[in-house]
Amino acid sequence: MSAGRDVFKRPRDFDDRALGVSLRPYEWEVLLALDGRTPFVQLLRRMGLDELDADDVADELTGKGLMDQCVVTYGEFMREREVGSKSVELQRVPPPEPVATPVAVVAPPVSNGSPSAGAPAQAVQSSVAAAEPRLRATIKPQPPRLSFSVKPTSKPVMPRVAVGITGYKLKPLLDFIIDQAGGKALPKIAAQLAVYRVFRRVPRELVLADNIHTLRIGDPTLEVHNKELYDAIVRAIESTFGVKYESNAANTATG
Amino acid sequence: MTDNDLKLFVDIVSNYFAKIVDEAPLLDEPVIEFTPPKLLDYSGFIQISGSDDGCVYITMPRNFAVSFLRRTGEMASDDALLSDFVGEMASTIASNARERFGTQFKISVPRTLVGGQQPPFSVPGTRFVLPIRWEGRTAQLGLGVFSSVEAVRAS
Repeated sequence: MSAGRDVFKRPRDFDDRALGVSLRPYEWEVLLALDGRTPFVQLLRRMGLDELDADDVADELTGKGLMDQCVVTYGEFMREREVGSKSVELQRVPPPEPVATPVAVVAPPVSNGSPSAGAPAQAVQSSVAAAEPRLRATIKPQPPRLSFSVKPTSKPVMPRVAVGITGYKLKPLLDFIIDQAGGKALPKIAAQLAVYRVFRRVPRELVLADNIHTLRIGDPTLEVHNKELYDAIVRAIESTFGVKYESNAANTATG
Repeated sequence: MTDNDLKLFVDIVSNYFAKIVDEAPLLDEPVIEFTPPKLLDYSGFIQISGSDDGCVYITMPRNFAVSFLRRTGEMASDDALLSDFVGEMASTIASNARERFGTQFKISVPRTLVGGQQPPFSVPGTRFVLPIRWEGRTAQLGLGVFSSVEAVRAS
């Protein structure tokens, strides 16, 4: 795993997961410093921990389920990319040229007999006016939330990684499992155990490769990002219940 | 092991609570865990072998164990006592399971672990973890059945 450039965040149930876990004090510091924006290696550097191997630390802490890698959907990626481009464009606006137009200066009234406030005085006034700061509106773009950098280009270029980045929803599969196990009449816990019975047949390596460490059975937004994993889940359903899973049929059944 | 077999363990733990503290615990939304178990301060494991091999464990933070023990009238709360208590809980689960399953499964003698240390024996990589809430504290019941790949690797 090359975690240095990756961005991590604490899982939502971090407090629960942290219970009873023993870590080195600096590891807790690192976990508490995760902000979901800063690349991991940069975070370590900022904390004066750059002598550590970012990969080792990341492996250890993700392995304990105390931090999750930040991944984005295609839509989020494009939004961030747009914000990133705008921020780059704004930064590239050249600074304003010194004002060349003459500035009208009204000479202060002078009393009779006093030395004339002629040309030298005007010149001084003029240069003071030019040196005075003018009012400027500066729009500071929000710092990009993600760690990847975007090169400004005149034409937007579609990212090559975009295909298939959107996840495969698991809800139809879970509904199908519950249906197979006995349907809605099934006690909730039995339905949840049926889901476990399927997932224990799914190769764990595939699940972990999709950065899934725990799976909340009741979460209707569950999705996986890897087609191979999705297919493995379908195969596990089929071998657990001895049926053929047809996605359309299951979707229809779900309503 | 079927869903019903697994559910039996959940029932046994629920009943244990109901009997000892006269109160059914609240079962939260379970998760399927794919990483090594995140064990809390006190854990009791029983290993099961039969048509499928696996394990059942209960793990709890110190404050959960202390409260539970107090409810039974025991006011002391040293490590040894709390560890014994979790072992006893696992033992009760094991003997209930033996009664229900008969000769279908072999149920091991319970093993206790303290301080969140990882078990010195193999545990199924994918487990069903059910949070058990009682008096605002959360323990976890873990159930795991070895996959066929794990079983082949182990043999």
